[in-house]
Amino acid sequence: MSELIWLHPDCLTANNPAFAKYPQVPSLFVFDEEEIAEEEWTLKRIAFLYETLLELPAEIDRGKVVEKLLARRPSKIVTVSSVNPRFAQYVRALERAVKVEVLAAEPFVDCPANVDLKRFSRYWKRVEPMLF
Amino acid sequence: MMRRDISSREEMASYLAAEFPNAARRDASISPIRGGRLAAEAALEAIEPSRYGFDRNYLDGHVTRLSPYIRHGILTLKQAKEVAFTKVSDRFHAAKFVTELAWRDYWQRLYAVLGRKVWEDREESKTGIPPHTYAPAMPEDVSAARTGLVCIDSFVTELKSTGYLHNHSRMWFAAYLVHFRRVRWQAGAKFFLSHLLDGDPASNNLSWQWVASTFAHKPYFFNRENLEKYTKGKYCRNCPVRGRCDFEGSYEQLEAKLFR
Repeated sequence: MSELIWLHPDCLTANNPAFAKYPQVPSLFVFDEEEIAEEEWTLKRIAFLYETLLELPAEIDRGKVVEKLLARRPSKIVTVSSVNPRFAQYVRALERAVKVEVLAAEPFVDCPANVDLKRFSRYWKRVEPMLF
Repeated sequence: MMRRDISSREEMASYLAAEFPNAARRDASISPIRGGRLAAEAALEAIEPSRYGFDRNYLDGHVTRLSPYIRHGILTLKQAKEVAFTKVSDRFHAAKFVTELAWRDYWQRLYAVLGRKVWEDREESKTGIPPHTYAPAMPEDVSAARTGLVCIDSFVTELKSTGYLHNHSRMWFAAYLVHFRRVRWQAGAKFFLSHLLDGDPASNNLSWQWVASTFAHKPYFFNRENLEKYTKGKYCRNCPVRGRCDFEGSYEQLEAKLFR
């Protein structure tokens, strides 16, 4: 039993904070067959990710994400935050079986989470002064 | 476990087609746009934010094509902004580019709030057309690139073969499908998601809603003059229906034809 880094399609940077914090820990990416079926991905979307993964020190698998991660019997799963609703759903399922550490992704701008999102113009008015 | 010992893109294409037969059945082509950090960094190094600010709406403008890399976190928004600032004498010259990065951040923040509701109308449509009038499915002639409109058919062909479209082409295509063909935006959004390398339900669906006017004060549409200008005539020049296509006319004329 050891730790496992879970890579998902929103955090494929080589500067992944999980790699930085756990440099010796193996990582796994699972092509999510449910997401691929639901969004009806064509092969080029898969190929783009696969080609990206070949440059990363990751094992690659396909199937049901939670099952594949737990099949490795990790003592802990480390990953990077995502706003994809599937991510929260999978983290909840994993947490029933194992400890999960979710690291923050690098923010674009440090503005409060409760910024007004009614229209882009409202958000922009708030963040523009922080960006330049 | 999947293999990692792949020596060429041809081998990759046939290996992945065997591993993902359903995806291959939908469309087995592989994009010339490469995945990976090296390709991402080369694209980032090539950006010209100042020229982007002037001509990004033209199909041959200095667009960056960073979106597939940013969508998957291969590059971060902050990294793209910082590199852009190194390429201009005054940060203001990168303003347009940074605004577009901010759009991505905005869509992601909304996604965190909305989740799967990005598939539902955010607001009522402003077109005056009853919602049930919009067809639920993608018309066959559109998805097969057989509308007879050279621009639209070219967009579909390019999307299918590369997994990428210039933002302006995406807007024209979306306006065509929703307003000229009266198809529900969700059908178009799904079609895009299945092909786009940068496919993201938030950026994609909320932009479709912006065109449809379920997330905007008014619908987005265009006329042939606008398309001809920003494409520099590359589609209209060879179009058999030039001068009598659906997009002919002033904005006032088209508005009267399309909306109530």
